[in-house]
Amino acid sequence: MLIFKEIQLLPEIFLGISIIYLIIHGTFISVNNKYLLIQNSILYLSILIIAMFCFLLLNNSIEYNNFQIFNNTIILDYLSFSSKAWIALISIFCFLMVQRYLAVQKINYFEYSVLILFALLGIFFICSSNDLITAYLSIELQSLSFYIMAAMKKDSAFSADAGLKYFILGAFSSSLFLFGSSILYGVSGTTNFEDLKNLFFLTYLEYESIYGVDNYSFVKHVFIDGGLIQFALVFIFVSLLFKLAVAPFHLWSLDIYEGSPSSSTFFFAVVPKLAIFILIIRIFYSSFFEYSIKWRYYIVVVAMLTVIVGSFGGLEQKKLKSLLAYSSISHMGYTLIAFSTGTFEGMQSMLCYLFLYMIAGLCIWSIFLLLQLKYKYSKKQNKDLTDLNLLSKSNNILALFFSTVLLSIAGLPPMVGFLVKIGIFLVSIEASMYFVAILSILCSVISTFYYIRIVKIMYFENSVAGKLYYPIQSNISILVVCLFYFLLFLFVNPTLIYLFSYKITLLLTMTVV
Amino acid sequence: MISSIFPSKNFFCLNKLSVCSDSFHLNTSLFYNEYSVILTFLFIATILSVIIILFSYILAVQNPETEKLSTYECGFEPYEDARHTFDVKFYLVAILFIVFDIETMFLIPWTNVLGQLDLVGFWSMIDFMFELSIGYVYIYCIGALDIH
Amino acid sequence: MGLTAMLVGSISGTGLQMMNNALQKVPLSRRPWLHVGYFFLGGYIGQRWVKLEKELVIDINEIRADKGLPPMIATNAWIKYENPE
Repeated sequence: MLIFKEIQLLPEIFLGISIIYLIIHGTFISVNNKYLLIQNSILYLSILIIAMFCFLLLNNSIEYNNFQIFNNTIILDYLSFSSKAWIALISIFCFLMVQRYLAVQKINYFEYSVLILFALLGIFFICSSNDLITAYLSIELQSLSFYIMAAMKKDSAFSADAGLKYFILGAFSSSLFLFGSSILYGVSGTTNFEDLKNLFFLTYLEYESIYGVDNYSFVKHVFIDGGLIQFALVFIFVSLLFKLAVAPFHLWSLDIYEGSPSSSTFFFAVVPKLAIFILIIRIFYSSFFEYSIKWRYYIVVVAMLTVIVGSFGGLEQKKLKSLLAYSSISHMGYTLIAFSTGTFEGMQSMLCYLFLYMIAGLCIWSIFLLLQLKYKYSKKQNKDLTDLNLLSKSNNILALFFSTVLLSIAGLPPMVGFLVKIGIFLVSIEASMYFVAILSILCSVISTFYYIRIVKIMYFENSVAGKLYYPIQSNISILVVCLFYFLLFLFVNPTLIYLFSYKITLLLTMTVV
Repeated sequence: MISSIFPSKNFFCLNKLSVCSDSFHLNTSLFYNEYSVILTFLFIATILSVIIILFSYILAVQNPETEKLSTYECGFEPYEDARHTFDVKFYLVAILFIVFDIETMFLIPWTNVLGQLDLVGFWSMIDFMFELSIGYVYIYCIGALDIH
Repeated sequence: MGLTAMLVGSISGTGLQMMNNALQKVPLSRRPWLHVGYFFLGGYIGQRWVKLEKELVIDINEIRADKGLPPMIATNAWIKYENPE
């Protein structure tokens, strides 16, 4: 019987072995003289692999214990379990949606699916990392796969440009992470989140205070420099905020989202944000909680700046992808507002907002991928706003879906985006951050403009004829319909999301309601 | 000082590495223990290099020509305009070298402590090398190492 | 038992398939076997939804009891609080 603790990592081990198998399988088939197009089959195999990963993950009946395995570098608790399950389900969805787009764009490399699986492996390890080194390695694994995915279209200089920019910025932010963790190691002697939590969770450290360790009888007083820890935490925070594309570190995301093939942008915009936020929760809410009294103000400033930049920046955009990039920037701003409160309800509404952000992001990017222009000049890659001219005449239901998702992102009832946004404003008011609440509400109103402008272009444009689109032929449009239905249904019955995030936040270590 | 080459019988010197002021114990001095290996290496390297160059100069048939005597620059012209496109195969070789060099770098301390590791330690390194060889098979089959 | 939930799920499943057909601009009753299929799938999902909500409330109350807090009363009118005693 398999009764050792490391067997909890069986889903990731399975994913790793299947990636290795897929590499060999794809290589030996695609280097023949009779070159077989195996893109579709590898894609479906990847869907099967992630489905089996879900199966293995959901069959771990031990969810409420905190297993720390591999010398305390990997933690398996309810937060890691639920985030991994959620991300795996979302990525199955993503795989199904990009299949048709890849066939149209002639990205025939089987390595695309393998790279997505590598990125997912990195993301799963981020969700369950308990050590600064494990977190760095997993961030690098995920980021490396994303760099290549951004540059996957070999005949487009735009795409290579996006990949190069992503690589440089991503490597820079990872180096900042390493610098912060090296200082933390130098101060405390450990890189483990659990050890750092035992050291720093409830102590109030000023500059150069004296800290007595009771567990060891031969160490009575240890000097720990609180200022140096804050210095290191700033670097780690900046590195993770770089990955999330919040202002003032947001400029890379516009070019990269614009230049990458849309299927890669689909992944960049939806999947890694939850993982980075889980890492932020583990470092800054579980380990260094007491330092939140110091960095709260900076996070609030960053969040407000992000919200302002996201709202005002999207007003001028004429390309659809840049618009969606700015909207995801402003979403990260709202999430940071909820995170900066540091309360129980703050964490809960942050998780709610992240789940709904992923659902709405899925919906909007799937609609974006399903739209295929009939007449366009051959070099044109991305859609402008004017390409959505009179979509209501072309495909009535699709215009309805698009406007519903946009209004949900904007935060208007009767869609569920309204409820989660109100949750964020409520927690910030409850934490007495009145100015932040007023400013973010105003900026939310401002950002509603560019969502409603798309609705106006689809429905009420004054031109003679709209752009013509191919009819939607894929069998997986039912998934888009389901998402649209959930956006409306969850407004009526949001209990499941509320309870789920409540349970996760309860099981976050050492939270007191 | 001639007597310094032979070890002197000093029965009152209990510690072999202690400083005895009258003679220099060659076989037991710290200097000899630590640095004699380096001297051996230096001699072997010098002698080997001299042998190789000497024999290749003496035994080779030499027909000098302009093309043979010109400098080699990895396949392209050495004295040329600096603006031709960068050949990406050099970059590929550099990246692959880094990867396999790091693998070797991880192999060396593992071989030192292998006696103290149990079965898990052995198979972990075998698994690591297996994954890197999968990468090598991929590179070989995909044609990244072809120079055409 | 969740009969209402099952009914809502079934009807919405069929409605979703009809909307799918409308999205693809085919007659609404194309592929009628999918209508039936999504009917049952929707019913199953509706039932699981309600069961999952109840399980979550019970789990949350258990965790809160472990931490020494009073149980969370489900104030949603659609989920009556069932006392486990």
